[in-house]
Amino acid sequence: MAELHADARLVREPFTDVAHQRAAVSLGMWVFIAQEVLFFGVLFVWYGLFRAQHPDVVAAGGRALDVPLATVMTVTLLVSSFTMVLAVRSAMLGARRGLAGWLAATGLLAVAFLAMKAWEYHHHIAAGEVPVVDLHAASSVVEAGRAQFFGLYFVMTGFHALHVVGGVLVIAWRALAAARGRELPRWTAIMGLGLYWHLVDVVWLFVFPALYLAGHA
Amino acid sequence: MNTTARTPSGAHRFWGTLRAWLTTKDHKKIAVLYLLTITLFFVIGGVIATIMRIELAGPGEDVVSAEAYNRLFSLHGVIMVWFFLIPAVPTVLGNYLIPLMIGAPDLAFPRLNLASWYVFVAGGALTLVAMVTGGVDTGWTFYTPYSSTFSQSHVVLTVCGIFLAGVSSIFTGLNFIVTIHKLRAPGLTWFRLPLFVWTHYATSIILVLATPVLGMTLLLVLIEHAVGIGIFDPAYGGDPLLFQHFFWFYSHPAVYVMILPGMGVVSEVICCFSRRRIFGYRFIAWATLAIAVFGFLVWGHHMFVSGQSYLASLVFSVLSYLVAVPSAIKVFNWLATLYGGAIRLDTPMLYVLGFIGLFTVGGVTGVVLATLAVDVHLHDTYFVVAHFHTIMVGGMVMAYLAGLHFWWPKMTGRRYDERLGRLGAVLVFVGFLLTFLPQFILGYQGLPRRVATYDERFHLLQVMSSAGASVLALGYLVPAVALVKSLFGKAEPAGRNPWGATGLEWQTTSPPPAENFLAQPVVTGDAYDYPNAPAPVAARGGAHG
Ligand SMILES: [Cu+2]
Repeated sequence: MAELHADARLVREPFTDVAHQRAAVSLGMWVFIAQEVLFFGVLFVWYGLFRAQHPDVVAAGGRALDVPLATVMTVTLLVSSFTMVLAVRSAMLGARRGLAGWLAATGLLAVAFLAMKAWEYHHHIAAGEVPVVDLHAASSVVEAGRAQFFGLYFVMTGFHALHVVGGVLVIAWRALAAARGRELPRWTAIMGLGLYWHLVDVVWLFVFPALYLAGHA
Repeated sequence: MNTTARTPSGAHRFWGTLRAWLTTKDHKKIAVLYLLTITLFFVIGGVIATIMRIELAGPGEDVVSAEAYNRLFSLHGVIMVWFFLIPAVPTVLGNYLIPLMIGAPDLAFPRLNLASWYVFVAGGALTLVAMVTGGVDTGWTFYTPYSSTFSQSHVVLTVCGIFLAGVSSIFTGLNFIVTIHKLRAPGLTWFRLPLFVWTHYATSIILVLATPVLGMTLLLVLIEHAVGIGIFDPAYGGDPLLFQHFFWFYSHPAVYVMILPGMGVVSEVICCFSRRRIFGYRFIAWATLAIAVFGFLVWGHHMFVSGQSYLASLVFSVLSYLVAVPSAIKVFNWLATLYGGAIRLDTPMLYVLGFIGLFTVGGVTGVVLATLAVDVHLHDTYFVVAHFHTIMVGGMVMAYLAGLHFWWPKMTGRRYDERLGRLGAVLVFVGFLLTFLPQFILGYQGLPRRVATYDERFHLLQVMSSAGASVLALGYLVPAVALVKSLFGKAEPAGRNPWGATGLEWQTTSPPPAENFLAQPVVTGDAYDYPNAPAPVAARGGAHG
């Protein structure tokens, strides 16, 4: 790998040099990732408890989901992680065009993921597979069933999708900044963005088998 | 300022100053912004408490209805927990002092620090809007189904406010962790760090690892409430115990967020005013981390009567005893530090001595409550109320005031009236005892908390508690007057090091320059070299013994 881009203008207060800033930003990002793990951890505990108590409901729910589509979504996200790595590399080398291009590719893949997600949501809602419980229609005790499973499905994938949306916004902003070329790409920030993007990817890698592959064993 | 404010250039200058403050990235100014915000919330929470104590002075629904009382204690809890107890010491004292104590020009991420304040203010604003439009009646704990099926209040708005306060906490914790790891001055090894920094490090870890659990849990409550998805509410097919597990997984460690930074203040003050090295530095540092870790393992002691399994209750009970060990280690170390020291009873030290006494009482009554069989009797009585107010008001607030008085000369460059300061410390301590000792007895006699009315036989003790609360309220006014007064007129300049304290923050000017230190400080020894520290400078207001 060629030499790291180490222009003094990349360094912000209160850091002394680029290496110092890189160490601090990456530690900060890892701390952020730790809290994200706990944040999503709540959902997985909820999921685990529900699955332990109602394995058949989760299995039936999993069979109602679109596994081929979700597989395509998974591949899309994985490829976007790869393009993000290339974006970070370009930033580190000070290659402004490469950065803009690879960020744009990452952003487009993310948008494709969201489009598939939206189509999937639309499909389930149209089919009446919704989590909302109508207390007035049902009997006084709600049985654990499809509504509960789709509660898990919408909440877990929904929070993940929100993270994707947040990522897309930042990616678009950074890509535009790099394309306009006014400022030098501050690669420590792009590195942080990359770490975030991989986290979003990894979360999906847990959501995917937990929901979609349940009941397919 | 008043004379120039009338002229256009004066108004211009006013807006310029305001703008500079609201866009500052200087951790010291952000700490002052937090100080003002947090004081506001403390006053609001205190006013609500006052109304409650007035209501409780009589056994019936005398001043407010039972319905209004539910909202009062809920808001008192929400505001005091999330907008005062949790943020106060870290965001004010920690924000101001951590960079100074480690010889850094600022926190690692100054803009994130400013953002944390804005997020905090937004959260506070939402909560206040919810409050004036009717508030919540769920208690500060938002147990379902109070917060879902049976809620007739502004759960969504309040929950959003608390969520934002949590985001702000995470920003602060993240910033502190990175700062302490990456910005220490040359020579400042981990075991040379002031204990104040250690406690903030442990606190930050809790903030970062516990707050997201609360955040997600509250969002789930919100989703359940707003959309009607079954998560926690059994009517919708949810699991109410799951909510309690999540909630206390956060809220028990949050207790240590409230108390650990205060313990850091105590360690600093106690060394300075007994002119001694801290006894057992490494024990205290490790005990701090141990409290942070054990704190994550004991949440189930809030659920002894919830229907969790007997085995789980037993395990949580035993683990809760274990948390008492590192806490006790700290108290013993403080006492050993005092032993044989040249003790001076300035205002910060008075608060700290009050802290040690009350923290011990609060801790021991906590062990009583952690005892499974006893808790079944005392659960949800005034004994619990008295216990945690002893830790929170007797512990955390005393430590906060100790720290505020201790570092006030550093932050403002001025000294306050020492006699007024001491009067405040004594009044707060006495007022505290008068307010909460009766509540221990009331709880032991079985008076349930969170009820506006009570049986005639509890009347005397309730009146005593209310009377004590007025002393306490007066006690809080005195330090406010003493500190604010020092800002106006010809207050005595503080100089760099009025207390003759060790620590890097005392080596720079008071207040410090924007970059904190004109030359990068280098550390060559431990944090508490009091045998070789400069002598304290006596304030005009009072003689030193
Ligand atoms: Cu607890």
